[in-house]
Amino acid sequence: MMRLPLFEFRAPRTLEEAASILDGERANAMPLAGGTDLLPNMKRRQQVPRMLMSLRHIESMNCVALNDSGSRLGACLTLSEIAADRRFRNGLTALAQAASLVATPQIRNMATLGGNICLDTRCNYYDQSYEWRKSINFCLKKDGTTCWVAPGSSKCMAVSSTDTGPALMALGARVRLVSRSEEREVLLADLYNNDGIDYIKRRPDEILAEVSLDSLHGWKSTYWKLRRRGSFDFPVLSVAAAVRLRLLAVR
Amino acid sequence: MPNEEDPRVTRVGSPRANEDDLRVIGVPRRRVDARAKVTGQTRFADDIFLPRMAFCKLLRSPHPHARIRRIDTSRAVAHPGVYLVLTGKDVPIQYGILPVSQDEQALCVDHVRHVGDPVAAVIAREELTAFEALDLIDVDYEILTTISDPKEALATPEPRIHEYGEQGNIHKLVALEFGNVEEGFAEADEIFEDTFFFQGNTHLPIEQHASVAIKDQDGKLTIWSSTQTPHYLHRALAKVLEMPAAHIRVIATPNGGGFGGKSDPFNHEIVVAKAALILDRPVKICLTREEVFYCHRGRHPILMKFKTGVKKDGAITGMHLQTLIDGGAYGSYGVASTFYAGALQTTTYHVPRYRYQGCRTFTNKPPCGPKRGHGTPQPRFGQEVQLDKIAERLKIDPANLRLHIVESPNAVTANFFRLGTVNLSECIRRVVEASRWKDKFRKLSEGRGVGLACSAYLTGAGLPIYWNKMPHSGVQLKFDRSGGVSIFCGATEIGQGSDDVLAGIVAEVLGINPFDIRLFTGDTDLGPVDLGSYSSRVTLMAGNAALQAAERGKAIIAEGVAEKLEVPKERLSFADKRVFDSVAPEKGIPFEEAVCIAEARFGTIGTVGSYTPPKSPALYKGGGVGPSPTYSYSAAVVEVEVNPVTGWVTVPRIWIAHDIGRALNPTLARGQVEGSVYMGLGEALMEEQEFRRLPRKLSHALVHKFPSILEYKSPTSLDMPEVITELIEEPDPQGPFGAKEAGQGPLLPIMPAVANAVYDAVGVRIDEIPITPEKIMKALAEKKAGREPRFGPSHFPHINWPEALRVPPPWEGGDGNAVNDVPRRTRTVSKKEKVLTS
Ligand SMILES: Cc1cc2nc3c(=O)[nH]c(=O)nc-3n(C[C@H](O)[C@H](O)[C@H](O)COP(=O)(O)OP(=O)(O)OC[C@H]3O[C@@H](n4cnc5c(N)ncnc54)[C@H](O)[C@@H]3O)c2cc1C
Ligand code: SF4
Repeated sequence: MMRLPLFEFRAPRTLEEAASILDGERANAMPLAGGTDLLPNMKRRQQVPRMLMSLRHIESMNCVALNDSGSRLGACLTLSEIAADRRFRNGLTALAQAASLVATPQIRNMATLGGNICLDTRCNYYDQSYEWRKSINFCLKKDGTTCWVAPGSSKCMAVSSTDTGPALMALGARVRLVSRSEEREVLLADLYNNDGIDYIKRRPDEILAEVSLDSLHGWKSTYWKLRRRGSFDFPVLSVAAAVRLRLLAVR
Repeated sequence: MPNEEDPRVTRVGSPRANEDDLRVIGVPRRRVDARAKVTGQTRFADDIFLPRMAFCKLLRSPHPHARIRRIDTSRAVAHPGVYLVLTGKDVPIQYGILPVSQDEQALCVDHVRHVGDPVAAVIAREELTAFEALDLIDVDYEILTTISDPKEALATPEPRIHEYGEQGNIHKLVALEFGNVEEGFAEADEIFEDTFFFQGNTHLPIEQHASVAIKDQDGKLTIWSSTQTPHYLHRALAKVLEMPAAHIRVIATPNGGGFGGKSDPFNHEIVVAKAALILDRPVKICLTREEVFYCHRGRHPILMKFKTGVKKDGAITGMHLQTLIDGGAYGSYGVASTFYAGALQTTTYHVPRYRYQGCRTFTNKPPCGPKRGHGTPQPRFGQEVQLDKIAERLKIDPANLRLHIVESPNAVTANFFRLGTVNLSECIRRVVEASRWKDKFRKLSEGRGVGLACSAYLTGAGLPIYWNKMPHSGVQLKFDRSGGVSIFCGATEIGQGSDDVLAGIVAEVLGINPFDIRLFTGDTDLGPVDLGSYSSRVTLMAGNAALQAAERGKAIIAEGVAEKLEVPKERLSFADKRVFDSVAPEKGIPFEEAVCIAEARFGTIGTVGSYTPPKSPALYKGGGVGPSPTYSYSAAVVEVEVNPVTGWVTVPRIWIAHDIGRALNPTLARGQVEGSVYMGLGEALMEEQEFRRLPRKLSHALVHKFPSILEYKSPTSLDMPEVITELIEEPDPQGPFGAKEAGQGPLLPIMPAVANAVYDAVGVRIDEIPITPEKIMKALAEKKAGREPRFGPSHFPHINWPEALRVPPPWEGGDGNAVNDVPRRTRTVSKKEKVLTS
């Protein structure tokens, strides 16, 4: 079977503690949420962090606050929780649908919202074991020099396959990023870079603590996903839409 | 144990005599191993943990084709926690499943032939340590030309992937002609020529291969392994390890699915055995999913061309089939697969004249082999789709066309296969009726359609893999004073239910409960040889052996009880755990008392049974592949919905009727049929064992596209349609209680039925498997542009075929021999085979 490399493990109980661990370790450490993306990647040696820092014991990251002025979702909410919670309906339907369409029930029980947003980019030449990648002499994204998708390219074209991402973007979500020295909120649509390697604007010392949304009162939303296999699969194409209907006018 | 010739052993009241009286056979039952399976107590090979156990990892070639110049293991050997590093020179002896293809080495000595070919093994205290040490082995490779498909193999005779075979990179050429096919074409009213391609796919068992080997207290070797063929592994181990076979014990652990992927002796099995002997400690290996894709032995990709002549009423006058087969890097079962690809065309419909030419090439990919249906689903796809085209041109309903040409029961076919019961017509009628075919075919709205196809499959290969005259299966029974009965048999439980078949048959004969029976199966030390779980042979062969052993035991017990009860033994019945007078049922004794009486009278009771298939009339060279004691038949109707905008295919419903002879345990039989449908649907719509060739200017790489269970697309239970299964039961005289196979045949009609249904739905022919939305979209675009509404290969390459062996069919007075070859009375070992076996 495929084995994880050895790593150090930390499980802070507060956001502050977590932020200070990351501050000290920088790129040596990676936050671990559900681990459904990171741990398989580590088995394939796509990522080999010296330290994993679990976020699951930080209570504030497991909270949901829904009220008339908007909502705040802790980044460690599991996708199962989001898919099952009746409060994630109406305006938030797209998010619940997206969460329910990720992977399989077992994975959704572990997978978190934050992890889904921060998910590593995917590519058929990259999501492979160490041995497999060795037999193509690796690729630009990790350990190699050529991009096999576009051999002339100096840029990696691997893409994010997050299901909740498009849904949250359609809903105008923002994410709160917390580091030891600062805290910032960015529009989710602005979080990503058009680059398969440097795909996210989150700095290694930042934790994505929560997702916040304005009031979605009166909104309707939906999320559609095209996948090769109906029961479970990453998206080939995703479409999310949110609309608010007003008399004779669509905003 | 009583002497087999003992005159006291007589057959009493054959259980076949009074079929209405069956208590176990034919009754839907919980299988005997169900409890262990659903409670997680079944011990698979990877569940075995032994004290001091070390772990093995294999270093595999990163190159598709290369020579090994030098291997330096010193850094790995020095790595803390590493116990042993093995390379090819430690286990150099060649082996392989077929005597004619002894072309594998447990670790490649000087030539690697595909990405994933193992070159060294590290055995360490922990699996992680072994994995890390792999990177410390330095291998110096000299890169050779990559040969990625059969057309390249034909065009590139050098470098040769193997030093043996026909020539260059052609592994095997077959040419057989049964009657003058050209005359057949001359008689035809219409001639159809079609080319088809069937992409390779893999077994995808949920359990990855695993093995644990130990050196016993007395220095002998024991290996537990997820293998379908413990007997053949036993032989391979003896050969490669140069040990007496009597010092080797192979225990086939219950397989978490096999489907033909665990039927070869594997390099990892030999490596852990060797390591355990050297280290004198248990050594384990459990392959990763990726490594299972490198073991492969799955469906051969086949390009095929069918030329078929028909009369106006659909009667076939002659058929010519050519195949170009992508064998991958090793022989495996490939020679047999090449024959199988041409074997069964004659077993469903009457084909009076038939020519087959098959060519298997070596390529730098994991070897292909005997996936469920072994070599026959690909040509079955072509034949059944072509029949659909024929029916359309002749304006005959495809169901009626088939009913018109179905081969007769007990026929001897053009290629000399003797059929048994044939209830294909009944299968067709049932699915036609159940699906309301007549209301649907060519009548549903645009985008919806139905398709029909049929198939036949063998119930056990008529010949063993290595030539010998011994039984194919043996069973021993031990009768305990407690009334408990133990079954010892080499048969291997791979999830198909072979243990339940044995228990059911023995329980029926002895009138006891299957749960009162203990099973010791798949263990070469405990049970007599059974050749393995392949070719749909276990129910018929091990079943017949069990039947014989049980009847012999029953006879001994009856003898004792008859004396005691003073009832003629012919009048005794065995049922409900009692032995009683069938005329006066109240006069009887419990089964355990009956055993005690017999033991007191005759001594310890144990019986044996064995089975050898009947001799085949196919005497010509190559006629050993395809004969079977009897054949199963299936017909299926598939309903599809095709989205004309996206090409997306959904299958709401499938009707299948399977001619099974008799369902010993209908629950299991239905499971086999539905499992086959499921696998067939995966093959039809999404499964592909595909490879990536990187740009040649930049790289020689040829890698499996995505060796993972996530990216190798296979349907899950949620993707399954409704399946309406009918079992057609007319007991076949060859089978135990009349049973024929159910594990492979029902897969075969699914792929062509889907293709035919897609045509009915949107009017495009997809002459290629799998049928993906992309292919449908391309064919729809062709249709829109007014061109041939089809997707599929247009060309079959030129191959220098050898002169065909000409065998006149039975109706032309043939005796089963080729007229242009030395006549063979019975099958004899060719010189070449003899040399390679020894
Ligand atoms: C078989 C299979 C199928 C899958 N199918 C899908 C699918 O259909 N759709 C889909 O979107 N995904 C899919 N996934 C990927 C994955 O399961 C999900 O994206 C999941 O939501 C990831 O969440 P996680 O909590 O497990 O993330 P983790 O694996 O714990 O983390 C993922 C990444 O995000 C980082 N991270 C996690 N949380 C935070 C945080 N709060 N702050 C900063 N960084 C963080 C981690 O360091 C890591 O780099 C699949 C995975 C598998 C194994
Ligand atoms: S560089 Fe990026 S896009 Fe190119 S092959 Fe690697 S992962 Fe794929």
